[in-house]
Amino acid sequence: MKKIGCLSVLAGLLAVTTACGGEEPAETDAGTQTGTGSETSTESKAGSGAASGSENDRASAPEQIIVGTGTQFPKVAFLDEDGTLTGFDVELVREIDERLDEYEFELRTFEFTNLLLSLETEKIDFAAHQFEKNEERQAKYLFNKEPYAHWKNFIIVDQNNDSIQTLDDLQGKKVLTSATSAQAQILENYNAEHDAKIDIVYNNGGANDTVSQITTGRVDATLAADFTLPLIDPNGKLKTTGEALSSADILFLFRKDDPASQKLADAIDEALVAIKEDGTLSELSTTWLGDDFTK
Amino acid sequence: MNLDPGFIWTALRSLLQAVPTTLAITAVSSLCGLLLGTVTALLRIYRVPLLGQASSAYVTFIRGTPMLTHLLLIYFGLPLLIDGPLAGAGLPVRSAMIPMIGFAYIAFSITAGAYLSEVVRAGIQAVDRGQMEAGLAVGMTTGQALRRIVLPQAMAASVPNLSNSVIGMLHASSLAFTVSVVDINAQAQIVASTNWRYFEAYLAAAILYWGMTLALERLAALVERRISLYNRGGVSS
Repeated sequence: MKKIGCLSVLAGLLAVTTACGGEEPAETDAGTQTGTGSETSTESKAGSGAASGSENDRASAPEQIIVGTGTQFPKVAFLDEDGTLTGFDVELVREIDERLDEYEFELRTFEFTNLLLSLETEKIDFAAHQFEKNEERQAKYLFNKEPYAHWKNFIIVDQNNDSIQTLDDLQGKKVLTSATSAQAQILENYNAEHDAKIDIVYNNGGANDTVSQITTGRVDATLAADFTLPLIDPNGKLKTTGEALSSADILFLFRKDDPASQKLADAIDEALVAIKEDGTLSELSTTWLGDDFTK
Repeated sequence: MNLDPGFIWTALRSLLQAVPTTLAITAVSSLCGLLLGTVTALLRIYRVPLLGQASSAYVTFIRGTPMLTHLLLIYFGLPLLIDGPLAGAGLPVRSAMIPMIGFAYIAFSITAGAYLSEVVRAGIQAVDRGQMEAGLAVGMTTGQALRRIVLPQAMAASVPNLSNSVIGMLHASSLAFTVSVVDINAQAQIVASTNWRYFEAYLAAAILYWGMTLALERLAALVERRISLYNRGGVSS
């Protein structure tokens, strides 16, 4: 009796496990199907023409492209709570990757100040970090043609500070900026052209202390693009002041005099036009930056 | 990418202005660290109640965390302390009165103290116990024997390790740029952003660091020779 009891229990167990085993794939199939279902719905909404047509060309292995970006730019290229790299630039690069079958992008993160050197030394193939187009950079690097955002640089001061309106008001004052940034360029150009200098305080952005440096009076101001202010100063302790110092197009940065880079840039331009036309870019901008800065 | 040797020279000259900053951070943090390290090493060797354990905790915590973390903790923590309880108690202090380099001095001294504590401890333990006992036997107090007999020999034994730590601090001082202190490496980034020749600027920084390190090595060798004279019977004091 005992033996039979044991056997029946075993048989019962076996039946249960095999039943489960039989059901499992079906279940997971269903799960993944619903998962991909929702994904593809967003994808197909986003990539109507560009992606679907060239599905068959996948046979030739896509070219591996290393994309350099950073982790210290909130909402643009940063690590979320789970440590996943995301943000406006990052998601845009992924969207472009989706639409370019001939390329496969791999994102790598660098300290911002080392991105340009990494590009030159072929550690990365292009850089995506809200790079602003200016003459100095154009002389040394290749930009793609289709901007994916537009910046206006402003002077940013403590909200109680009404004495500063223009760069001239900053003469002899301390202005915080990140070394190698486009804002540093504006300040350096000003100092090169004027006898009364602005006292530039450089940092590497590693401490995220812009707000405290300005509110404690260590420095008097900083320069930043309009949309970055709510990102670095969520509590509204600072304000923009005066007229826009410069407005610039935001582009990806490539190696100059390199045919492969030119080809990549052209391919990305084409994809960007499509991403703009179907509204995906505006959507990304609103999601990450709080407003549409792409027009 | 092509190298522009001329710019290495230009960068090198521009980097010279940052040399005093780098040297100051290295010197201050190494000296304060040595003082801190000696005190904590003695507290640990003589197993002073509470203070000895506190010293051990200090050494293991600091050696267990990165130097950049120390800097950030001091940079953000000290103002909380100063602007909170201290200013609240009516003291006329504000964190904005501390110059930026002050945070680097304090944080890196704390870092260096933990590492040098082990260096000094090894040095003291390298001195034969008999030396201490001999000192006591001729009527010195423990303090006198330490000051006159043990520590000089311990320092001599520590010189190679000490110079190692100082060189490490020289190179690590570039972290100070995180709190807007422009050291050699930071100056290299700044000068490079005028014409985007980063590699040349970093190369210039490397040359400069290497030169300074060579000088430090020479200095350490000189000190070592002078301080170990007793060992070869050169001085009879």
